[in-house]
Amino acid sequence: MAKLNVNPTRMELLNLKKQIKTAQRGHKLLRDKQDGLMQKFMEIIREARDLRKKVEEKLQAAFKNFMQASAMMYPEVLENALLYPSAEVSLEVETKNVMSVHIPHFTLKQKGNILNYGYLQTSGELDMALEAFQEVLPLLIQLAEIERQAERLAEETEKTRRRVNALEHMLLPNLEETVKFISMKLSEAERSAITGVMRIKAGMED
Amino acid sequence: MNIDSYKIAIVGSKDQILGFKALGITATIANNGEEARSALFKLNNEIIKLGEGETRKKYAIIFILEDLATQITKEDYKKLTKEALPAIIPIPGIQGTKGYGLTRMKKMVEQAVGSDIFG
Repeated sequence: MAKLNVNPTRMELLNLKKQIKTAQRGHKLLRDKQDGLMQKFMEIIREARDLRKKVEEKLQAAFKNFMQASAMMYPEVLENALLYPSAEVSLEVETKNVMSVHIPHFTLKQKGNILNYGYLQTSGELDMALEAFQEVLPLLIQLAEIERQAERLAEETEKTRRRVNALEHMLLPNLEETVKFISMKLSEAERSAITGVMRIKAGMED
Repeated sequence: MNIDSYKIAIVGSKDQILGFKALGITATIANNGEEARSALFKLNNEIIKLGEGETRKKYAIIFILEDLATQITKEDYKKLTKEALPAIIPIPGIQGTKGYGLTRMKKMVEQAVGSDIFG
């Protein structure tokens, strides 16, 4: 490890010792944060994985319904039927603070009727397909929420891990090495002073 | 529109997103990666003024179909998800899942843990 470029004085030594203490405290705190984040992340990612599998299956089924429905109707009719939806969706977003990461929490609000078209030219399959979509929607929102949370946590965990590593493998060893270097230098100077005095004393006695 | 209610959007090819449109989701048509990219940026830049110079995003969630999501570059994705919102979520299309969503999740695990522990 490289030692820092400082003057080997007692003043620097004291400063460095103080720095080491701070770095050690920071290191401990960050490691605790990392553990906390990791725990939360694992919890969320497991849930997210299961949820995604479920959602993808359901969505597949909904798409199939919709394909069948659209195959039974003229494309123009289908498009016209769905051109101006009266249904409205909106989300309420809250953010939670987990280990200083702000993660979003969505609440879905639905309004209006999805079956907003004339029944004359449209097929019954379309109604069913849209209902299937509507059923999937809350799950999709849940998936979005949980994946976004996982993403945010992953970013933060990575950042924290880097900081912990930087402290542990770079800053702390460097500081310690420098402290060692300075204290050696200082004791060397001390010894040199003593021998100097001894020699002068010996010279005077002769 | 309510002050603290956000909207949902979806980006994909026309036949795949029509169904979502009926639910009241903002559907933006994109047929290739480039179109999807500009659609995402456009949706992301739509903001609502709250008064006193404060603004917030209009869309909280943007769903994007898997085949288009794979064509969005990492840099663009990073730019889009700098802030807490929106959440950009890939969903499988008519052809069924190609595993992109799960790959994405694997990457998250790798990023957080440092190695892939799900296998």
